[in-house]
Amino acid sequence: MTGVPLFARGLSVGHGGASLFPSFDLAFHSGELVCLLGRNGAGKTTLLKTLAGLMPPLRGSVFFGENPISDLSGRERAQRAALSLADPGLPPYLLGRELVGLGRTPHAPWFASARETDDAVASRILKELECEHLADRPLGRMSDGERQRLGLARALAQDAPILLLDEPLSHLDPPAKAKMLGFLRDWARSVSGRVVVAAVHEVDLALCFADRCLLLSSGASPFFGTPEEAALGPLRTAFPGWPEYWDALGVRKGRIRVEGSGTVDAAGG
Amino acid sequence: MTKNPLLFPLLLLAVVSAFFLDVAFGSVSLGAREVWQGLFGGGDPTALSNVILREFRLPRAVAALVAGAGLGVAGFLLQTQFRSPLAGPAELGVSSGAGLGVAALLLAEPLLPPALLDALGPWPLAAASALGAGAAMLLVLAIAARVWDSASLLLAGLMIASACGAAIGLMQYFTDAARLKVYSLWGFGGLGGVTWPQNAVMAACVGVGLVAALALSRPLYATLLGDSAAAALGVRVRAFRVTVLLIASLLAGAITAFCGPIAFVGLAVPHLARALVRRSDPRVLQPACMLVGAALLLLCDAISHAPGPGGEGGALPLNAITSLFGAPAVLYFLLRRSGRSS
Repeated sequence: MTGVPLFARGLSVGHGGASLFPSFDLAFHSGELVCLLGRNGAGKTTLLKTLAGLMPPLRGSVFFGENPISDLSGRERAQRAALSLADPGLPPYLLGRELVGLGRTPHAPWFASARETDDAVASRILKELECEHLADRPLGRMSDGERQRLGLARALAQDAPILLLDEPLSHLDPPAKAKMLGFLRDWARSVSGRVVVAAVHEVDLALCFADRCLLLSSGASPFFGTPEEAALGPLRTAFPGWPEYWDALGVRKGRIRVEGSGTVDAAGG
Repeated sequence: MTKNPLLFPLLLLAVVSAFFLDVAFGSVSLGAREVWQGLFGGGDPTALSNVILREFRLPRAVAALVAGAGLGVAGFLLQTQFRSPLAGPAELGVSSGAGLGVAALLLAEPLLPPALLDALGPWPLAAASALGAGAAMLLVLAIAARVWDSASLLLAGLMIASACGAAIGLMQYFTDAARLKVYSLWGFGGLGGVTWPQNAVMAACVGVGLVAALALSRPLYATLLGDSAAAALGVRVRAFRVTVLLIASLLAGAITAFCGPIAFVGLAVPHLARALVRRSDPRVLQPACMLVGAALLLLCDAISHAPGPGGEGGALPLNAITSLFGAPAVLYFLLRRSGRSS
């Protein structure tokens, strides 16, 4: 499986021995943005933590390139995959610059005092994300959206080719959400070997921006395919009440279409 | 870097000044010249002022220096690992655990061969105290895995302290009067009784603890983000936490063995240091904790021996002075915290 930065074989995930889905295979391709969709409690965070190596899989194994992650040390894993969690409960006195610089942890030797390098990387990434004004502000005096951007900046500072993000958009305003997904898609494409897996609730944006969607619904086999394929049916299986939701928004057959390899009626017949 | 490049030189200056002050103050006030001569040679080595300096003042001041630096870092380690701004060696029952270790050693002493005790010098006391501290710390850790708010954790620490107190009381019942007196004096806490050999053992333990804490600065920094995020950055969180708490036990245990329980220094110093440095990076904050802790304890000790209105040097209990600074500081942090959350 050369050229596949992240894949899983016979994977079964869950807490305390209870598997959330029938075991499945996954292969994430170089350069793609994958949106992880599913209802609350469907297992998005559990899957992300398992892919990052924070939780052992119940069965099967996860591979970074050719290496099963069980063979990698925590530090090696952190150099290959960066995970940003939704609500880490950060200390309010931590400065923006410090949070982002902490992403350098797996690259810095434990003993060395490389504060200048940390700060330089933090400044570069804050600039890329247009967050320079947050560098010297404590996290306690930031909005949720600002903290969320810095959480992503922290993961980017880790400089790992695999980026696993748990709800990176939830606190952003609508245009910023679209901009962020666009940024992530470009980030994944810009260097060979990169892949972004982002758990999001913004299904509409996911259908527009993602290269592929991974749909989770507990008990069923996950669906992994293009947004067009997802919109055709699996979306409605994964989210009971989805047609009613689109009805409530006034989405009717033919009014909203998903453009892709073919044109597909999003609301279905 | 810190915002102020002069901060560390100034802190160092504060430590040196507090050291001189601590050496100068006492039941016999010494002038600047006598202190200078005593420290750097010159003058008559048999002069009373020189003997006082060598045998009483210097050991006390060195003990304050070492204990202050060690307690400051021990408090910092506890506060980061329990994610509670109100954690400190005394508050989590760790000092009481050390006290239990000391009491157990005093009780067991008549049963041990005197030759062995003589040969080991101050080491058994340090070991018993550090073991007691470590046991209390692991108990707090086990409780902390189940309760996650810092108020419950502090209550648990209080309960551990009470339980240790009760156990110590029972042990004292079986002890003779002389040993009881030794323990009671120890229990007040103070730096006056620390001898040179004890200082050497304490400095060795604290030195090892401080170097280990500094060496672990990087993963320590990552654990500020919480367990999951730290694990995602490659830190083996559980093993790391136990390591850090063992270092804190060594620091707090060795210091408590010879100085007795010292209140509030471990709790207040990390907050003071953070207010001065304005960064959370342990690579900057831990050295700051050492300097602030040393300066603070030297100053408290100097005040406890400061000349009173009649010119005579007093001998106030050290813990009265540290509590005078510490208790309002804790109240301030409590009020500021609840003010932020409401």
